[in-house]
Amino acid sequence: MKNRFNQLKRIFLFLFTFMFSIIHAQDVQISGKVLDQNGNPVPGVNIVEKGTVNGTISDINGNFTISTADAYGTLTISYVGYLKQELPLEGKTNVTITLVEDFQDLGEVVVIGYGTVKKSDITGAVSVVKTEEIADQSASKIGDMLQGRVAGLQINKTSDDPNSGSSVRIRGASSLTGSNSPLVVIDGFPFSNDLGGLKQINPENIASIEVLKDASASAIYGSQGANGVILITTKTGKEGVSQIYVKNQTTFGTFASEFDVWRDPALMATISNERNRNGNGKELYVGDYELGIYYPSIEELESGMWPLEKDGPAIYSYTDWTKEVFRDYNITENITIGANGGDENTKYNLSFNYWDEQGNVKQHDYERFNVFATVEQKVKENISLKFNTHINITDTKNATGTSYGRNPIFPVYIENNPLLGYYRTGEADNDNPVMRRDLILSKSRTLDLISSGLFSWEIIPGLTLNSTFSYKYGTSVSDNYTPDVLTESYEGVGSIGNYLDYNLSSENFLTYRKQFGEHNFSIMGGWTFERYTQRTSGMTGRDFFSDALQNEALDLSATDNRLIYNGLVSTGLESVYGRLNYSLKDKYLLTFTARADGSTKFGDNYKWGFFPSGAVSWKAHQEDFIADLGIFNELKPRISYGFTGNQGVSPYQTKARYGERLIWDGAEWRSVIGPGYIGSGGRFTTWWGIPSRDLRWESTSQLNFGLDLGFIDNRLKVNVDYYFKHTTDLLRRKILPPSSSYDFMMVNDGIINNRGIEIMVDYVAVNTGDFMFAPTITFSKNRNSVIDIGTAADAGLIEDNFGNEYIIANNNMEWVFGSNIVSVYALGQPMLSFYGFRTDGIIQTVEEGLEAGLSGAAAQPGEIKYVDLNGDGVVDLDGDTEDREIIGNPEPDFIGSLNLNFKYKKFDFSAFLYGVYGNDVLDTQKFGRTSEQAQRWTPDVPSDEFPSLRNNRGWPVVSDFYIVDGSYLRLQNVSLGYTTSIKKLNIASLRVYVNIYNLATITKFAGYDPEVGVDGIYWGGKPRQRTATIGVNFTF
Amino acid sequence: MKKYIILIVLALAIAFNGCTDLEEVPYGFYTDENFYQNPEEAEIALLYAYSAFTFNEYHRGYFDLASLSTDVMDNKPGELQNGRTELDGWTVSSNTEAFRNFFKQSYIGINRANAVIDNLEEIEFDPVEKDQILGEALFLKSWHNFILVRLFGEIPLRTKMVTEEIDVQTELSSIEDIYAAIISDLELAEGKMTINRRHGRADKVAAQGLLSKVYLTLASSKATGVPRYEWVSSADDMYASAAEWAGKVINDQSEYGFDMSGNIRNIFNPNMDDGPEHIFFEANDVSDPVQNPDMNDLFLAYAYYNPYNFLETDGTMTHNVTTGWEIYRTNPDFFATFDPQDKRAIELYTDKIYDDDTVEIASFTNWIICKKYVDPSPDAENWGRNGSKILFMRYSDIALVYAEAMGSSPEGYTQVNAIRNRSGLPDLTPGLSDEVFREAVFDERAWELNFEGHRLFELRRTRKVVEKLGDVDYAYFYPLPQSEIDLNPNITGDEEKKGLR
Repeated sequence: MKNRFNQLKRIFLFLFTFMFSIIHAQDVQISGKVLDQNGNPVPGVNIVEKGTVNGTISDINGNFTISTADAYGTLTISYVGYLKQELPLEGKTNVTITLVEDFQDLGEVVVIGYGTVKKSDITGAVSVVKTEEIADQSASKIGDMLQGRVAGLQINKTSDDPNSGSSVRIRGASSLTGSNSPLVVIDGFPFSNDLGGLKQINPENIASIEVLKDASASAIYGSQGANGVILITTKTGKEGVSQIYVKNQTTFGTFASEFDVWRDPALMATISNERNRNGNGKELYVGDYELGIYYPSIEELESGMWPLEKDGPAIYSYTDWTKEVFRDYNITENITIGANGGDENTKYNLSFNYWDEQGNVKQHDYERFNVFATVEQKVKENISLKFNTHINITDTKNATGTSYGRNPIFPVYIENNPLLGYYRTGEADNDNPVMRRDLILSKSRTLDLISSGLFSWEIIPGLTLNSTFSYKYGTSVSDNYTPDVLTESYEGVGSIGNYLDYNLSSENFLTYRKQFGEHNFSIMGGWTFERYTQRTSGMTGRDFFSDALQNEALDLSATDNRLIYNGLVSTGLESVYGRLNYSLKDKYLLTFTARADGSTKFGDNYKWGFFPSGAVSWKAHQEDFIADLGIFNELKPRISYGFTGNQGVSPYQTKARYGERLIWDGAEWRSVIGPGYIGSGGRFTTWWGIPSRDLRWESTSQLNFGLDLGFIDNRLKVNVDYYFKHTTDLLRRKILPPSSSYDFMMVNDGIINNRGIEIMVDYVAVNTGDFMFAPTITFSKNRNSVIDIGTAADAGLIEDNFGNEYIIANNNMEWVFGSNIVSVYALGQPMLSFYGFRTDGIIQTVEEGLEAGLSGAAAQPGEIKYVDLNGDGVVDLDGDTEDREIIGNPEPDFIGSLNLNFKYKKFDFSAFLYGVYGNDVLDTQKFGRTSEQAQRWTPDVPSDEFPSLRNNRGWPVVSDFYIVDGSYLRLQNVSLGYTTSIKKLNIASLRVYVNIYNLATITKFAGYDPEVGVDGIYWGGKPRQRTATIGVNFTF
Repeated sequence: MKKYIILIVLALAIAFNGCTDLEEVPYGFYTDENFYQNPEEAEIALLYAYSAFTFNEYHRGYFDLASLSTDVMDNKPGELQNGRTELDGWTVSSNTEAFRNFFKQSYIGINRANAVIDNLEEIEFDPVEKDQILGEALFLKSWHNFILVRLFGEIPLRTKMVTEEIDVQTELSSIEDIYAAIISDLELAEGKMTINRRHGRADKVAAQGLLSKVYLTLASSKATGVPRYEWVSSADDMYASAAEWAGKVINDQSEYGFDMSGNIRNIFNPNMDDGPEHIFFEANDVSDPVQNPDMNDLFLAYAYYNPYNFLETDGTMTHNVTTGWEIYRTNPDFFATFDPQDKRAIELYTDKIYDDDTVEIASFTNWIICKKYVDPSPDAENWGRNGSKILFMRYSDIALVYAEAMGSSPEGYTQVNAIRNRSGLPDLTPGLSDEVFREAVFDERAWELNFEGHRLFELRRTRKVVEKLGDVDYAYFYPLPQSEIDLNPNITGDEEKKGLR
């Protein structure tokens, strides 16, 4: 849109210039050149003789000529993104102009849903990501780059593995069962993928990222807007510029912290023996066989050499499994080659990207090919067409041997000799990571195609029709084979899995802009439909007579041991929407939006939802009495209120869905069908199938107060937002009476609130031509609170002795703690709060233990002292729910970031700090770490921090022993770059840089890394990576 | 210009409207809209009703509620799953896990049977086959209702399939009404079905057998003054009806009979489920490709994940018995009531396990393993997958029903003595009074049908719960599951059941 205005303007100016040259005799011919701060020519810059309409545009080499009436006149030079300059000619006929970047360009246009708006005219809470700040990072996915860049956007990334995603939340989570991920819209195409896993778009091709946070901004996406919206706009070519660019990055990764493994086998054996001894079990490391394996004695281990057989030669030594499993360092290559440019009528951008990533696990590899092409063609003066295509191919070899915690006394190969085969403790030992890596096949290949065509027609001046048709097609095929020797029940298991999804949408909207004197209108209205289909199929063969063909010939598996499955999920959405922007005197701004969504997923009685919003804003700095204060360059309060929905409902729940089972009829297994299908989770079967005819979206109303401030010539900008999000009609399970023969159905009932504050500060502290220093600060604080999730009867709400009312949030914790009551949704508390016992150090005497209300083995010295919270004198760790309470929650008190940007001549430097403060982490690995086991309680060295070692203690008890402070401050990115141009070689721009990721982390957390998933549970895993990226960018 | 706009809007509206509609079309699964179309689907739906038996919720409840809770079976100490400690120790409440699980699973069976009954009318097919399917569905519904009414007393009587949320809540029916429904459904079923032995399916004989058990329950409950059975008109009439229906099984057919092959274990061998005793049993096979019900694991000894062997009385070995969880343990005091000569005690119970070289691995001192659910040929390659199944109704059960209903009579003695002789025991003392004879049948049932899901019902219908188990709460009816009480406004917690002795 903006581009076209510029074009029109240019044509207009050109015509005027032409006319003037006829009408007036020109006096002075001025020639000049426009350069940027790096000395590169800038084409397309407007040069106008001040006070006239006489103007011109710089050419591709930055040169221009202009005839002026007055040799002592003034030229006005303007270009988007740069400060407007005035140049007094003072009689010169040849001038050179150096443009100065404008970091606070108020003329900047911001993409909002279905259109754009001048940044200064925004009424809602919209944040713009400065893509140039994140350009040096090595990231195959956009989600990885945005952490800390926008206030209110929380990103948790817990793994550096290729293909791993991150979770993205805008202004907290508001759904128990639906999605909490924001909607991602790429060039107007609502995308089914969430941002955390978005691999189809090469970050290099992104021109801008906007984050729509409040209802005024996101309600235009209606039933998809409740979790916020992230708009991604890809790069197109620039008029008058044709360039070839090459961007190459090489990234070296190493582990940022040490592995927690036994480095001293004798200490490991001592600890193991002590644990068994204390639990009245048999000591293992006594120089004898146990279940066919020879365990050396501690003395033998201390000698450093020990036999494999009781009387065999002493040839074995310690195996460092981390060296066997992991690469010493891993390298990622990333190269993008592209060309862009255009003229008045055609603009294009073509790019090819190759990404070759090594995982930190040996054999774990990821390759990606990405092609992006966009062409924009002006067909007629008022009609243009644009086509975008992304092609993305990935190849992944999965890590199959990762158990680096294997006992270090086991060798990799029998007698350390690869010719003798892999060492196994027995037939059922399938754990040797080297053996697994060598023998197991696991790979996948994906192909994604995203294509869109946009038709834009300015029907009459001000009235534009935009029509977009977008299509995504994605497939993946996975190949797996586990050979006979590693499969317990079968002679080899092979499978092929197929996944296919396609998504198409058509968006059609009309925009009309009109100005009547002081009234400025923009009205947009449109309609859309979307269809999403996902198909899956897979086949598994078991029992092969040979491993030779792996999964290539599943038809050679045993005929009665084959499994096949297939499925399809299809959803559709139809919508009508509109927006009115109105401004009076460029001071008073008003926005209304509304959208009506009809979804296939909703019940018969609620097919359509309506989502309106409104916002008002006052550009107070335009008022004389404010301007006269001389303080504010911008003072703009904003208020918005509106409704959005979350349609993250599983499809087909409005149907009376039937289930399947196999039953033996005496001759064969038969598939049988009838009412009731089995849901997932838990030890017992749960039955679903009663149609939820009233199923609908979760509804979120949001109130937002914002204030945009600008000081010191807009060099200091502060944005503050306070919001209150109130989500009702929460989608949750409703318990049905068992005589109905169903366990659950989904209902819309429940309330969750989120409220918070966001602050962003941009400060251009110094900006001379040579030196610039510009820090940016973001701060966000969100309070999540579960308000209503049903009753004891229909939702299973449990009330404890301390007034807490909760339901269990995670049904898969039984295998960790022997109980599922770990993470809970409790009224008045943040989602996923932790629930358990309180502890008070370690019991030192039996009397102390008994006095605490504990009994039996739990009261012995060296045990954790659990607190008798209800004061009844008894603490029963097994069945007792009397002494448990809320013991923490994973929600941070606040998240903040500080970005320091420096530029000196051709050098630039930035340091990015990201911090999370005040969140609790449930550290399931506590006391599992070798260093902590060494600090165990013993009668001789009684610890008050860690208990004794005892193998028969049973399940770990959920308590605040495992709750630790997850706060951290990370020096996340440090980047140093040098940008220049080499004219001799025709290199318009050359940039060389180094970027270091995860340079340092300050935390009290004892595990590998405090950044855990949104549930706040730490599972161990492996250390995070520190990477160094060396990059070179050329533009020809 | 205006006409252009109108044209565009019209064109686009036509182009895009109607491209989608918001109707959701199911794919890859059936709903009430696309099922019950043909005779094959009717049978598939019926088999789905049978498959309700093949879940842990049913299996475990079947033993937990009626055997573990009584004097014949003990629980592995500390075994808490499914509320077993509460059941074994009679500290049950409406929150006892097994109540909800078994109650729900039984209603799943009822609902699926109702689904067949409700939809059968619309399907056109061979009337004989149609009648058979209808009969089996009615049988299954009655089977569940009969177990539920004996466990819980007043229960919701589901006469129609639950299809919408509005159907979920229903009132409790009186015990009298529930029995009336059971009898009328079963009599209808009996008339619709033929004698037709098929794996895991019920037929005419099964309906006759179940009817005899229903009448016997009413008869003995009335005769012994069991609480809440006061409404039963006459014990003698009920005994007569029980004898009539059991008599049809004993005298009017030749498909089923006593297994006289000489080895009592054959009756329980899952590979010999076409034996004469097998009137109605759970469908299962060793080649289960989906899930192993693990039923034998609950009875078997734990041996550190290694298979072991049993030494049989004939000197042979049963090899590769899966290591088990030893949860269901035969009570030693009950076991002591067996006659030492009783083949059932000798062949079906053991306290020793052996390795391949006939070396004893372990001997248990305070409990005895019941081998009724031990598959002698499990699939050792596949995690001990086995074909063990629940014998829901076997000929000896109905023979003893007949004997008890007939009382001290030649017909009665014939049945009891047949069973005793097969077990290597002498004839029952002749000339006993009806009362003493029925007492003897009661004992015989315990020895013959132990661990087959009957004991609690025997105690309840003869008013012996307190005598055998002590002064326990909920002696005659368990409380309804708490979630049923909470979620159904028509139901209030019936604490008075506690006081029934």
